[in-house]
Amino acid sequence: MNKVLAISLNTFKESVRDKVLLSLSALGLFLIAISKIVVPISIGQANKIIKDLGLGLVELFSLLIIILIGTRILYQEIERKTIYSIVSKPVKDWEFVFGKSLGLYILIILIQLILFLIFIIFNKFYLGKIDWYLLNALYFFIFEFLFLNAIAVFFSCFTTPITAGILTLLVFFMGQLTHYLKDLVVLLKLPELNAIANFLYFVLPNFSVFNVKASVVYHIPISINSYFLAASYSILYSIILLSLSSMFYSIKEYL
Amino acid sequence: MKRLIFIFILIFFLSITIRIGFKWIPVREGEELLFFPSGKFIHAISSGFDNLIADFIWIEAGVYFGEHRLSDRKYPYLYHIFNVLTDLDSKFLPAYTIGGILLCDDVKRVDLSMKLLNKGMFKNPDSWEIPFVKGFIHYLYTKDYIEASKWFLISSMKENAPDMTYKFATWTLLHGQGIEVAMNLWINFYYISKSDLMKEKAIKGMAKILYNQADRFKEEKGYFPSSLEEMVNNNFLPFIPRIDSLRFVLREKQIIIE
Repeated sequence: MNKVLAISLNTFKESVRDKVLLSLSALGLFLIAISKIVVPISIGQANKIIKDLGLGLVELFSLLIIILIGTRILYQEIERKTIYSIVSKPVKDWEFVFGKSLGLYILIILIQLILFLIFIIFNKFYLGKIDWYLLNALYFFIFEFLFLNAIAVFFSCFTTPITAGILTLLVFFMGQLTHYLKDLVVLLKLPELNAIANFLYFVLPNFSVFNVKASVVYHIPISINSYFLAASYSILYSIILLSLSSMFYSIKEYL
Repeated sequence: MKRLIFIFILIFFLSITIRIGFKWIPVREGEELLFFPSGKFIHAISSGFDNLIADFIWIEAGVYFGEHRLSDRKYPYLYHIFNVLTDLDSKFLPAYTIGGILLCDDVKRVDLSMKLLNKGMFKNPDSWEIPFVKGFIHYLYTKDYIEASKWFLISSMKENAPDMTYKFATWTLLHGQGIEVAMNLWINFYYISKSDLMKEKAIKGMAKILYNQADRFKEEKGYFPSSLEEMVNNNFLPFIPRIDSLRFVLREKQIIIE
Protein backbone atom coordinates (compact mmCIF):
# COMPACT_ATOMS: atom_id res chain seq x y z
CA MET A 1 0.00 0.00 0.00
CA ASN A 2 2.94 2.30 0.73
CA LYS A 3 4.12 1.82 -2.82
CA VAL A 4 0.73 2.87 -4.19
CA LEU A 5 0.81 5.98 -2.01
CA ALA A 6 4.39 6.81 -3.03
CA ILE A 7 3.51 6.51 -6.74
CA SER A 8 0.33 8.54 -6.28
CA LEU A 9 2.18 11.29 -4.43
CA ASN A 10 4.78 11.42 -7.16
CA THR A 11 2.08 11.52 -9.88
CA PHE A 12 0.33 14.29 -8.01
CA LYS A 13 3.51 16.38 -7.75
CA GLU A 14 4.29 15.76 -11.40
CA SER A 15 0.80 16.74 -12.57
CA VAL A 16 0.73 19.89 -10.45
CA ARG A 17 3.71 21.16 -12.43
CA ASP A 18 1.84 20.62 -15.70
CA LYS A 19 1.23 23.87 -17.59
CA VAL A 20 -2.07 22.54 -18.97
CA LEU A 21 -3.38 22.21 -15.42
CA LEU A 22 -2.36 25.74 -14.53
CA SER A 23 -3.98 27.25 -17.61
CA LEU A 24 -7.16 25.19 -17.21
CA SER A 25 -7.52 26.08 -13.54
CA ALA A 26 -6.87 29.76 -14.27
CA LEU A 27 -9.48 29.70 -17.04
CA GLY A 28 -11.98 27.96 -14.75
CA LEU A 29 -11.46 30.52 -12.00
CA PHE A 30 -11.72 33.35 -14.50
CA LEU A 31 -14.98 32.06 -15.95
CA ILE A 32 -16.55 31.53 -12.52
CA ALA A 33 -15.45 35.03 -11.56
CA ILE A 34 -16.94 36.68 -14.62
CA SER A 35 -20.26 34.86 -14.26
CA LYS A 36 -21.55 38.19 -12.94
CA ILE A 37 -21.75 39.46 -16.51
CA VAL A 38 -24.88 37.36 -16.96
CA VAL A 39 -26.70 39.27 -14.18
CA PRO A 40 -27.95 42.19 -16.33
CA ILE A 41 -29.24 39.87 -19.05
CA SER A 42 -30.65 37.19 -16.74
CA ILE A 43 -34.22 38.65 -16.66
CA GLY A 44 -34.41 38.38 -12.88
CA GLN A 45 -32.91 34.89 -12.68
CA ALA A 46 -29.34 35.78 -11.70
CA ASN A 47 -29.47 33.56 -8.63
CA LYS A 48 -30.23 30.42 -10.59
CA ILE A 49 -28.01 31.22 -13.56
CA ILE A 50 -24.93 31.95 -11.42
CA LYS A 51 -25.41 28.64 -9.58
CA ASP A 52 -25.96 26.66 -12.79
CA LEU A 53 -22.98 28.30 -14.42
CA GLY A 54 -20.72 27.67 -11.43
CA LEU A 55 -21.67 23.99 -11.11
CA GLY A 56 -21.45 23.47 -14.85
CA LEU A 57 -18.00 25.05 -15.06
CA VAL A 58 -16.62 23.04 -12.12
CA GLU A 59 -17.79 19.85 -13.84
CA LEU A 60 -16.61 20.90 -17.30
CA PHE A 61 -13.12 21.91 -16.18
CA SER A 62 -12.69 18.75 -14.12
CA LEU A 63 -13.66 16.80 -17.24
CA LEU A 64 -11.12 18.71 -19.33
CA ILE A 65 -8.37 18.09 -16.77
CA ILE A 66 -9.15 14.37 -16.79
CA ILE A 67 -9.07 14.28 -20.59
CA LEU A 68 -5.98 16.42 -21.07
CA ILE A 69 -3.88 15.17 -18.15
CA GLY A 70 -5.37 11.85 -17.08
CA THR A 71 -5.02 10.27 -20.48
CA ARG A 72 -1.32 11.16 -20.63
CA ILE A 73 -0.07 9.96 -17.28
CA LEU A 74 0.81 6.41 -18.29
CA TYR A 75 1.84 7.32 -21.81
CA GLN A 76 4.26 9.98 -20.58
CA GLU A 77 6.05 7.47 -18.33
CA ILE A 78 6.65 5.19 -21.30
CA GLU A 79 7.49 8.05 -23.68
CA ARG A 80 10.00 9.67 -21.33
CA LYS A 81 11.33 6.23 -20.35
CA THR A 82 10.91 7.14 -16.66
CA ILE A 83 8.93 3.91 -16.36
CA TYR A 84 12.22 1.95 -16.35
CA SER A 85 13.15 3.41 -12.98
CA ILE A 86 9.86 2.07 -11.61
CA VAL A 87 9.68 -1.35 -13.25
CA SER A 88 13.23 -2.06 -12.15
CA LYS A 89 11.99 -1.82 -8.55
CA PRO A 90 9.78 -4.42 -6.84
CA VAL A 91 6.54 -2.68 -7.81
CA LYS A 92 3.62 -4.77 -9.01
CA ASP A 93 1.68 -3.72 -12.12
CA TRP A 94 -1.52 -3.10 -10.20
CA GLU A 95 0.35 -0.99 -7.65
CA PHE A 96 1.70 1.18 -10.43
CA VAL A 97 -1.69 1.62 -12.16
CA PHE A 98 -3.60 2.18 -8.91
CA GLY A 99 -0.91 4.61 -7.69
CA LYS A 100 -1.01 6.63 -10.92
CA SER A 101 -4.79 6.74 -10.85
CA LEU A 102 -4.88 7.77 -7.19
CA GLY A 103 -2.38 10.56 -7.81
CA LEU A 104 -4.49 11.97 -10.61
CA TYR A 105 -7.62 11.61 -8.52
CA ILE A 106 -6.10 13.57 -5.62
CA LEU A 107 -5.24 16.30 -8.10
CA ILE A 108 -8.79 16.39 -9.47
CA ILE A 109 -10.25 16.54 -5.95
CA LEU A 110 -7.93 19.40 -5.07
CA ILE A 111 -8.80 21.35 -8.22
CA GLN A 112 -12.51 20.74 -7.62
CA LEU A 113 -12.22 21.94 -4.03
CA ILE A 114 -10.45 25.10 -5.14
CA LEU A 115 -12.94 25.80 -7.94
CA PHE A 116 -15.83 25.07 -5.59
CA LEU A 117 -14.43 27.33 -2.89
CA ILE A 118 -14.08 30.16 -5.39
CA PHE A 119 -17.60 29.43 -6.63
CA ILE A 120 -18.98 29.59 -3.07
CA ILE A 121 -17.10 32.83 -2.36
CA PHE A 122 -18.46 34.42 -5.54
CA ASN A 123 -21.91 33.20 -4.59
CA LYS A 124 -21.62 35.04 -1.33
CA PHE A 125 -20.20 38.06 -3.14
CA TYR A 126 -22.83 38.23 -5.90
CA LEU A 127 -25.92 36.85 -4.19
CA GLY A 128 -25.22 37.98 -0.65
CA LYS A 129 -25.47 34.57 0.98
CA ILE A 130 -23.87 31.16 0.87
CA ASP A 131 -26.07 28.33 -0.32
CA TRP A 132 -24.71 25.35 1.61
CA TYR A 133 -27.00 22.98 -0.25
CA LEU A 134 -24.63 23.36 -3.21
CA LEU A 135 -22.12 21.20 -1.34
CA ASN A 136 -24.27 18.19 -2.23
CA ALA A 137 -23.15 18.63 -5.82
CA LEU A 138 -19.54 18.43 -4.71
CA TYR A 139 -20.18 15.03 -3.11
CA PHE A 140 -21.58 13.69 -6.39
CA PHE A 141 -18.78 15.32 -8.43
CA ILE A 142 -16.19 13.57 -6.26
CA PHE A 143 -17.61 10.16 -7.14
CA GLU A 144 -18.35 11.04 -10.75
CA PHE A 145 -14.73 11.96 -11.29
CA LEU A 146 -13.42 8.92 -9.46
CA PHE A 147 -15.25 6.94 -12.11
CA LEU A 148 -14.14 9.13 -15.03
CA ASN A 149 -10.58 9.03 -13.76
CA ALA A 150 -10.66 5.23 -13.85
CA ILE A 151 -12.07 5.34 -17.39
CA ALA A 152 -9.30 7.70 -18.55
CA VAL A 153 -6.58 5.53 -16.97
CA PHE A 154 -8.18 2.42 -18.47
CA PHE A 155 -8.07 3.82 -22.01
CA SER A 156 -4.59 5.27 -21.57
CA CYS A 157 -3.30 1.74 -20.85
CA PHE A 158 -3.67 0.61 -24.44
CA THR A 159 -4.06 3.69 -26.64
CA THR A 160 -2.38 7.01 -27.36
CA PRO A 161 -3.40 10.06 -25.29
CA ILE A 162 -5.48 11.56 -28.11
CA THR A 163 -7.43 8.35 -28.66
CA ALA A 164 -7.83 7.84 -24.92
CA GLY A 165 -9.08 11.43 -24.58
CA ILE A 166 -11.63 10.99 -27.35
CA LEU A 167 -12.78 7.64 -25.95
CA THR A 168 -13.12 9.05 -22.44
CA LEU A 169 -15.16 11.95 -23.77
CA LEU A 170 -17.33 9.54 -25.78
CA VAL A 171 -17.94 7.38 -22.72
CA PHE A 172 -18.91 10.50 -20.78
CA PHE A 173 -21.41 11.50 -23.49
CA MET A 174 -22.68 7.95 -23.89
CA GLY A 175 -23.01 7.57 -20.13
CA GLN A 176 -25.52 10.43 -20.11
CA LEU A 177 -27.65 8.61 -22.69
CA THR A 178 -27.67 5.12 -21.19
CA HIS A 179 -31.18 5.59 -19.80
CA TYR A 180 -32.44 6.06 -23.38
CA LEU A 181 -31.56 2.45 -24.19
CA LYS A 182 -34.74 1.14 -22.62
CA ASP A 183 -36.84 3.83 -24.32
CA LEU A 184 -35.24 2.92 -27.64
CA VAL A 185 -36.47 -0.67 -27.46
CA VAL A 186 -39.99 0.54 -26.72
CA LEU A 187 -39.85 3.16 -29.48
CA LEU A 188 -38.55 0.75 -32.11
CA LYS A 189 -41.10 -1.85 -31.02
CA LEU A 190 -38.48 -4.57 -30.93
CA PRO A 191 -39.11 -6.61 -27.76
CA GLU A 192 -36.55 -9.20 -28.90
CA LEU A 193 -33.85 -6.59 -28.25
CA ASN A 194 -35.09 -6.11 -24.70
CA ALA A 195 -32.57 -8.50 -23.17
CA ILE A 196 -29.64 -6.87 -24.99
CA ALA A 197 -30.84 -3.38 -24.08
CA ASN A 198 -31.23 -4.42 -20.46
CA PHE A 199 -27.75 -5.94 -20.43
CA LEU A 200 -26.20 -2.82 -21.96
CA TYR A 201 -28.21 -0.62 -19.64
CA PHE A 202 -26.72 -2.30 -16.58
CA VAL A 203 -23.19 -2.79 -17.95
CA LEU A 204 -22.49 0.54 -19.64
CA PRO A 205 -21.57 3.49 -17.46
CA ASN A 206 -24.56 5.53 -16.36
CA PHE A 207 -23.58 9.07 -15.44
CA SER A 208 -27.12 10.20 -14.73
CA VAL A 209 -26.56 8.62 -11.27
CA PHE A 210 -24.27 11.56 -10.48
CA ASN A 211 -26.32 14.32 -12.06
CA VAL A 212 -28.00 16.13 -9.18
CA LYS A 213 -27.26 19.66 -10.35
CA ALA A 214 -30.94 20.53 -10.92
CA SER A 215 -31.96 19.16 -7.51
CA VAL A 216 -29.18 21.12 -5.83
CA VAL A 217 -30.07 24.40 -7.54
CA TYR A 218 -33.81 24.01 -6.85
CA HIS A 219 -33.26 22.63 -3.33
CA ILE A 220 -35.11 19.43 -4.13
CA PRO A 221 -34.35 16.84 -1.43
CA ILE A 222 -31.96 14.12 -2.61
CA SER A 223 -32.77 10.67 -1.27
CA ILE A 224 -30.21 8.90 0.89
CA ASN A 225 -30.26 6.04 -1.64
CA SER A 226 -28.85 8.37 -4.29
CA TYR A 227 -25.85 9.19 -2.08
CA PHE A 228 -25.26 5.53 -1.42
CA LEU A 229 -25.77 4.51 -5.05
CA ALA A 230 -23.38 7.18 -6.37
CA ALA A 231 -20.62 6.14 -3.96
CA SER A 232 -20.96 2.39 -4.33
CA TYR A 233 -21.49 2.49 -8.10
CA SER A 234 -18.46 4.69 -8.63
CA ILE A 235 -16.13 2.78 -6.28
CA LEU A 236 -17.05 -0.68 -7.58
CA TYR A 237 -16.92 0.30 -11.25
CA SER A 238 -13.59 2.08 -10.72
CA ILE A 239 -12.04 -0.94 -9.00
CA ILE A 240 -13.16 -3.16 -11.90
CA LEU A 241 -11.79 -0.73 -14.49
CA LEU A 242 -8.48 -0.25 -12.69
CA SER A 243 -8.09 -4.02 -12.32
CA LEU A 244 -8.67 -4.39 -16.06
CA SER A 245 -6.20 -1.53 -16.63
CA SER A 246 -3.55 -3.38 -14.61
CA MET A 247 -4.20 -6.45 -16.75
CA PHE A 248 -3.83 -4.51 -20.01
CA TYR A 249 -0.77 -2.76 -18.67
CA SER A 250 0.85 -6.12 -17.84
CA ILE A 251 0.07 -7.50 -21.29
CA LYS A 252 1.47 -4.36 -22.92
CA GLU A 253 4.60 -4.57 -20.82
CA TYR A 254 5.35 -8.13 -21.87
CA LEU A 255 4.58 -7.63 -25.57
CA MET B 1 7.56 44.46 -32.81
CA LYS B 2 6.76 44.17 -36.52
CA ARG B 3 4.68 41.07 -35.80
CA LEU B 4 2.75 42.87 -33.11
CA ILE B 5 1.95 45.76 -35.45
CA PHE B 6 0.91 43.25 -38.10
CA ILE B 7 -1.44 41.51 -35.63
CA PHE B 8 -2.96 44.87 -34.61
CA ILE B 9 -3.55 45.76 -38.26
CA LEU B 10 -5.23 42.38 -38.79
CA ILE B 11 -7.46 42.87 -35.72
CA PHE B 12 -8.38 46.34 -36.96
CA PHE B 13 -9.46 45.01 -40.37
CA LEU B 14 -11.27 42.10 -38.78
CA SER B 15 -13.31 44.43 -36.58
CA ILE B 16 -14.20 46.58 -39.62
CA THR B 17 -15.18 43.47 -41.58
CA ILE B 18 -17.41 42.31 -38.71
CA ARG B 19 -19.02 45.73 -38.25
CA ILE B 20 -19.77 46.25 -41.92
CA GLY B 21 -20.14 42.63 -43.00
CA PHE B 22 -22.98 41.79 -40.63
CA LYS B 23 -25.01 44.72 -41.89
CA TRP B 24 -24.71 43.35 -45.42
CA ILE B 25 -26.17 40.01 -44.49
CA PRO B 26 -29.86 40.55 -43.80
CA VAL B 27 -31.65 37.99 -41.65
CA ARG B 28 -34.62 36.81 -43.64
CA GLU B 29 -37.86 36.24 -41.83
CA GLY B 30 -38.18 32.67 -40.59
CA GLU B 31 -34.49 31.89 -41.02
CA GLU B 32 -33.37 33.37 -37.75
CA LEU B 33 -34.02 30.35 -35.55
CA LEU B 34 -34.27 27.59 -38.13
CA PHE B 35 -31.31 25.87 -36.51
CA PHE B 36 -33.05 25.71 -33.15
CA PRO B 37 -33.68 22.00 -32.52
CA SER B 38 -36.30 20.41 -30.29
CA GLY B 39 -35.94 20.20 -26.53
CA LYS B 40 -35.78 16.41 -26.59
CA PHE B 41 -32.85 16.51 -29.01
CA ILE B 42 -30.95 19.12 -26.99
CA HIS B 43 -31.64 17.12 -23.82
CA ALA B 44 -30.15 14.03 -25.45
CA ILE B 45 -26.95 15.79 -26.51
CA SER B 46 -26.56 18.07 -23.52
CA SER B 47 -24.59 15.47 -21.52
CA GLY B 48 -26.02 16.43 -18.17
CA PHE B 49 -25.58 20.16 -18.75
CA ASP B 50 -29.33 20.63 -19.43
CA ASN B 51 -29.76 23.36 -16.85
CA LEU B 52 -26.81 25.34 -18.12
CA ILE B 53 -28.08 25.12 -21.71
CA ALA B 54 -31.56 26.07 -20.49
CA ASP B 55 -30.04 29.20 -18.92
CA PHE B 56 -28.45 30.16 -22.22
CA ILE B 57 -31.79 29.61 -23.97
CA TRP B 58 -33.43 31.79 -21.31
CA ILE B 59 -30.98 34.56 -22.16
CA GLU B 60 -31.57 33.90 -25.87
CA ALA B 61 -35.34 34.22 -25.24
CA GLY B 62 -34.72 37.64 -23.70
CA VAL B 63 -32.53 38.71 -26.61
CA TYR B 64 -35.05 37.40 -29.17
CA PHE B 65 -37.94 39.14 -27.45
CA GLY B 66 -35.99 42.39 -27.04
CA GLU B 67 -34.83 42.48 -30.66
CA HIS B 68 -38.32 41.91 -32.05
CA ARG B 69 -39.91 44.28 -29.60
CA LEU B 70 -37.67 47.02 -30.93
CA SER B 71 -38.28 46.08 -34.57
CA ASP B 72 -41.31 44.29 -36.06
CA ARG B 73 -43.08 43.22 -32.84
CA LYS B 74 -43.62 39.76 -34.32
CA TYR B 75 -42.47 36.75 -32.30
CA PRO B 76 -43.03 33.59 -34.38
CA TYR B 77 -40.50 31.49 -32.43
CA LEU B 78 -41.18 32.68 -28.90
CA TYR B 79 -43.36 29.69 -28.00
CA HIS B 80 -40.84 27.28 -29.50
CA ILE B 81 -38.03 28.85 -27.43
CA PHE B 82 -40.01 28.56 -24.18
CA ASN B 83 -41.13 25.05 -25.07
CA VAL B 84 -37.53 23.92 -25.63
CA LEU B 85 -36.40 25.72 -22.50
CA THR B 86 -39.02 23.99 -20.35
CA ASP B 87 -38.21 20.62 -21.93
CA LEU B 88 -34.65 21.06 -20.69
CA ASP B 89 -35.43 22.51 -17.29
CA SER B 90 -38.95 21.57 -16.29
CA LYS B 91 -38.60 23.19 -12.83
CA PHE B 92 -37.80 26.64 -14.22
CA LEU B 93 -41.03 28.34 -13.09
CA PRO B 94 -40.33 31.83 -14.52
CA ALA B 95 -40.08 30.26 -17.98
CA TYR B 96 -43.74 29.22 -17.68
CA THR B 97 -45.04 32.34 -15.98
CA ILE B 98 -43.11 35.00 -17.91
CA GLY B 99 -43.44 32.96 -21.11
CA GLY B 100 -47.19 32.63 -20.55
CA ILE B 101 -47.62 36.38 -20.08
CA LEU B 102 -45.45 37.32 -23.06
CA LEU B 103 -47.28 34.87 -25.32
CA CYS B 104 -50.57 36.29 -24.23
CA ASP B 105 -49.74 39.99 -24.03
CA ASP B 106 -47.25 40.44 -26.89
CA VAL B 107 -47.81 37.49 -29.22
CA LYS B 108 -51.60 37.64 -28.69
CA ARG B 109 -51.78 33.85 -28.59
CA VAL B 110 -53.74 32.91 -25.50
CA ASP B 111 -53.91 29.29 -26.74
CA LEU B 112 -50.10 28.96 -26.75
CA SER B 113 -49.89 30.74 -23.43
CA MET B 114 -52.35 28.25 -21.89
CA LYS B 115 -50.48 25.35 -23.49
CA LEU B 116 -47.23 26.46 -21.86
CA LEU B 117 -48.90 27.06 -18.49
CA ASN B 118 -50.66 23.68 -18.60
CA LYS B 119 -47.32 22.03 -19.30
CA GLY B 120 -45.90 23.89 -16.32
CA MET B 121 -48.71 22.73 -14.04
CA PHE B 122 -48.26 19.15 -15.18
CA LYS B 123 -44.52 19.26 -14.43
CA ASN B 124 -44.81 21.35 -11.26
CA PRO B 125 -48.07 20.39 -9.55
CA ASP B 126 -47.02 22.07 -6.28
CA SER B 127 -46.41 25.50 -7.74
CA TRP B 128 -48.88 28.27 -6.81
CA GLU B 129 -47.37 30.69 -9.31
CA ILE B 130 -48.51 28.93 -12.50
CA PRO B 131 -52.24 28.65 -11.64
CA PHE B 132 -52.06 32.24 -10.35
CA VAL B 133 -50.75 33.45 -13.72
CA LYS B 134 -53.46 31.40 -15.42
CA GLY B 135 -56.07 33.19 -13.33
CA PHE B 136 -54.33 36.49 -14.04
CA ILE B 137 -54.53 35.90 -17.80
CA HIS B 138 -58.19 34.84 -17.61
CA TYR B 139 -59.01 37.94 -15.62
CA LEU B 140 -57.11 40.58 -17.55
CA TYR B 141 -56.94 39.19 -21.08
CA THR B 142 -59.76 36.74 -21.78
CA LYS B 143 -62.07 38.47 -19.27
CA ASP B 144 -63.39 35.11 -18.12
CA TYR B 145 -63.92 35.96 -14.46
CA ILE B 146 -65.31 32.57 -13.42
CA GLU B 147 -62.24 30.80 -14.86
CA ALA B 148 -60.00 33.43 -13.27
CA SER B 149 -61.58 32.90 -9.88
CA LYS B 150 -61.23 29.12 -10.26
CA TRP B 151 -57.50 29.35 -10.97
CA PHE B 152 -56.88 31.87 -8.19
CA LEU B 153 -58.62 29.46 -5.84
CA ILE B 154 -56.52 26.51 -7.09
CA SER B 155 -53.41 28.63 -6.60
CA SER B 156 -54.46 29.53 -3.05
CA MET B 157 -54.75 25.85 -2.16
CA LYS B 158 -51.11 25.14 -2.92
CA GLU B 159 -48.52 24.95 -0.22
CA ASN B 160 -46.63 28.25 0.35
CA ALA B 161 -49.27 30.20 -1.59
CA PRO B 162 -49.42 33.80 -0.34
CA ASP B 163 -52.66 35.21 1.10
CA MET B 164 -53.22 37.40 -1.95
CA THR B 165 -54.12 34.33 -4.03
CA TYR B 166 -57.14 33.65 -1.82
CA LYS B 167 -58.02 37.35 -1.76
CA PHE B 168 -58.07 37.46 -5.55
CA ALA B 169 -60.16 34.30 -5.73
CA THR B 170 -62.85 35.86 -3.53
CA TRP B 171 -62.60 39.38 -5.02
CA THR B 172 -62.98 37.99 -8.51
CA LEU B 173 -66.02 35.99 -7.50
CA LEU B 174 -67.62 38.90 -5.65
CA HIS B 175 -66.77 41.81 -7.92
CA GLY B 176 -66.28 40.17 -11.31
CA GLN B 177 -64.95 42.81 -13.62
CA GLY B 178 -64.42 45.36 -10.83
CA ILE B 179 -61.70 47.86 -11.53
CA GLU B 180 -60.31 47.46 -7.99
CA VAL B 181 -59.49 43.80 -8.59
CA ALA B 182 -57.67 44.60 -11.82
CA MET B 183 -55.65 47.38 -10.15
CA ASN B 184 -54.73 45.17 -7.22
CA LEU B 185 -53.75 42.40 -9.62
CA TRP B 186 -51.25 44.64 -11.37
CA ILE B 187 -49.87 45.96 -8.05
CA ASN B 188 -49.37 42.41 -6.73
CA PHE B 189 -47.99 41.29 -10.06
CA TYR B 190 -45.39 44.06 -9.79
CA TYR B 191 -44.28 42.93 -6.34
CA ILE B 192 -44.07 39.20 -7.11
CA SER B 193 -42.16 39.76 -10.36
CA LYS B 194 -38.41 39.57 -10.15
CA SER B 195 -37.62 40.75 -13.65
CA ASP B 196 -37.61 44.38 -14.78
CA LEU B 197 -39.48 43.35 -17.94
CA MET B 198 -42.46 42.07 -15.94
CA LYS B 199 -42.36 45.03 -13.54
CA GLU B 200 -42.49 47.33 -16.54
CA LYS B 201 -45.47 45.36 -17.85
CA ALA B 202 -47.25 45.81 -14.51
CA ILE B 203 -46.72 49.58 -14.58
CA LYS B 204 -47.92 49.81 -18.18
CA GLY B 205 -50.93 47.60 -17.34
CA MET B 206 -51.85 49.93 -14.46
CA ALA B 207 -51.39 53.03 -16.64
CA LYS B 208 -53.67 51.48 -19.27
CA ILE B 209 -56.42 50.89 -16.71
CA LEU B 210 -56.14 54.48 -15.50
CA TYR B 211 -56.28 55.82 -19.04
CA ASN B 212 -59.30 53.68 -19.94
CA GLN B 213 -61.10 54.94 -16.84
CA ALA B 214 -60.25 58.52 -17.78
CA ASP B 215 -61.77 57.84 -21.20
CA ARG B 216 -64.90 56.44 -19.55
CA PHE B 217 -65.04 59.57 -17.41
CA LYS B 218 -64.91 61.72 -20.54
CA GLU B 219 -67.67 59.70 -22.21
CA GLU B 220 -69.98 60.05 -19.24
CA LYS B 221 -69.18 63.59 -18.10
CA GLY B 222 -68.35 65.16 -21.44
CA TYR B 223 -64.93 66.46 -20.43
CA PHE B 224 -61.55 64.90 -19.62
CA PRO B 225 -60.73 64.69 -15.89
CA SER B 226 -58.07 67.10 -14.66
CA SER B 227 -56.55 64.69 -12.14
CA LEU B 228 -56.78 61.21 -10.72
CA GLU B 229 -58.19 62.70 -7.51
CA GLU B 230 -61.15 63.97 -9.52
CA MET B 231 -61.71 60.45 -10.84
CA VAL B 232 -61.62 59.05 -7.28
CA ASN B 233 -64.10 61.71 -6.09
CA ASN B 234 -66.48 60.78 -8.92
CA ASN B 235 -66.17 57.02 -8.21
CA PHE B 236 -64.33 56.24 -11.43
CA LEU B 237 -61.34 54.99 -9.47
CA PRO B 238 -61.35 53.18 -6.10
CA PHE B 239 -57.97 54.66 -5.12
CA ILE B 240 -54.87 56.34 -6.54
CA PRO B 241 -52.35 53.58 -7.13
CA ARG B 242 -48.79 53.73 -5.86
CA ILE B 243 -46.18 51.15 -6.71
CA ASP B 244 -42.96 51.41 -4.74
CA SER B 245 -41.95 55.05 -5.04
CA LEU B 246 -43.75 55.47 -8.37
CA ARG B 247 -46.69 57.87 -8.57
CA PHE B 248 -49.31 57.84 -11.31
CA VAL B 249 -50.39 61.32 -12.35
CA LEU B 250 -52.94 62.46 -14.92
CA ARG B 251 -51.49 65.44 -16.72
CA GLU B 252 -52.41 66.93 -20.09
CA LYS B 253 -54.71 64.00 -20.88
CA GLN B 254 -51.91 61.52 -20.33
CA ILE B 255 -50.97 59.12 -17.55
CA ILE B 256 -47.51 60.05 -16.36
CA ILE B 257 -45.42 57.93 -14.02
CA GLU B 258 -43.24 59.95 -11.66
